[in-house]
Amino acid sequence: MEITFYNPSGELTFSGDAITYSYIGKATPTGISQAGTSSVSNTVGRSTYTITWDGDIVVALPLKTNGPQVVLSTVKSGSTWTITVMKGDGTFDANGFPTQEYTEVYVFGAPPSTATSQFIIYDVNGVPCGDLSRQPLLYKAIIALSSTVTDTWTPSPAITSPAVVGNPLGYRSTSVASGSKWINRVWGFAWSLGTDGAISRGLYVNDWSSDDGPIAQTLVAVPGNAIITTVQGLS
Amino acid sequence: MPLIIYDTSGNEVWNSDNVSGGVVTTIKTYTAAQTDTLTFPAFPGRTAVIVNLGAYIATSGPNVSVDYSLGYPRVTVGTSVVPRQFAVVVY
Repeated sequence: MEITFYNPSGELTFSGDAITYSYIGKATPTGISQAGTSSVSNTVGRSTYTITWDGDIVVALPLKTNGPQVVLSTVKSGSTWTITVMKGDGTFDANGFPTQEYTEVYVFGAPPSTATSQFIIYDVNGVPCGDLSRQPLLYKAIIALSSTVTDTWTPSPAITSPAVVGNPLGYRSTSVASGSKWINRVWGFAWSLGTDGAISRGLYVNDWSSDDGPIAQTLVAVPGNAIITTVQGLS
Repeated sequence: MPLIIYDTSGNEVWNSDNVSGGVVTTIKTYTAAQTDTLTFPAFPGRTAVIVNLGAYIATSGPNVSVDYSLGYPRVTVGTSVVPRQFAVVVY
């Protein structure tokens, strides 16, 4: 029997032909580093988190107004997932790097092949593809940001405790003369949340170097999609 | 008839009538040089989007596109200058 649900708008909200990612908990903070302070070159700081889960995962990063924030990597070794996050606290060091602080990392897992529960959904091949004993990732919206760097999406009605699955992509490079040297910076794209609830891209300094010459100054935002969810009520 | 999920206290935490559309069909990882074609015949007439999960700082995108010429979503992964990790989300 095929299991499929749609919302009143006719959008697909649940399918036994897809993978249902359900809440497995917050990853545990394991370390935080600030950007280096070398006089030659430095890279942005970051924080790391781990969680144990045999199946695949997606990470929902809570959006906060003192960002920027972005998931830098999600890596599995054995049954341990290590998630690396760039989360600024709203202040910056002398080189422009965002000062790092811990955030919450909400993790949603696909059922492992050995899943046991009274509410396992299996695909047509008999592989577990959902576990309804855990709360599924709750889609508030799928947003699309254009190549316009300042593109913004504002939820209506407002979302309590918004979070995002997915990363914005792009590139920015800047050069500033400093005495006989050039301060060159490469910026990455992260998420930014306005006090009005607007979700947009936020730029952060990823690399800083003091060089003999400038680099080309470029600003490119890559169009892309992300899932907007909420972490309200998740502990 | 909706699918409704309650927590152990009896609070409704998920209701297929009250959520926005979207299901993850797969999560894939490719190097910059790899190419591939993914098809989703289980979802005729549905819209698919690519949700990037990697963090790459580059002036060009992941070069992953969606078309519907088969009557269902088809995802084409071309070569890129960056490695790719993404979810295919259908609604």
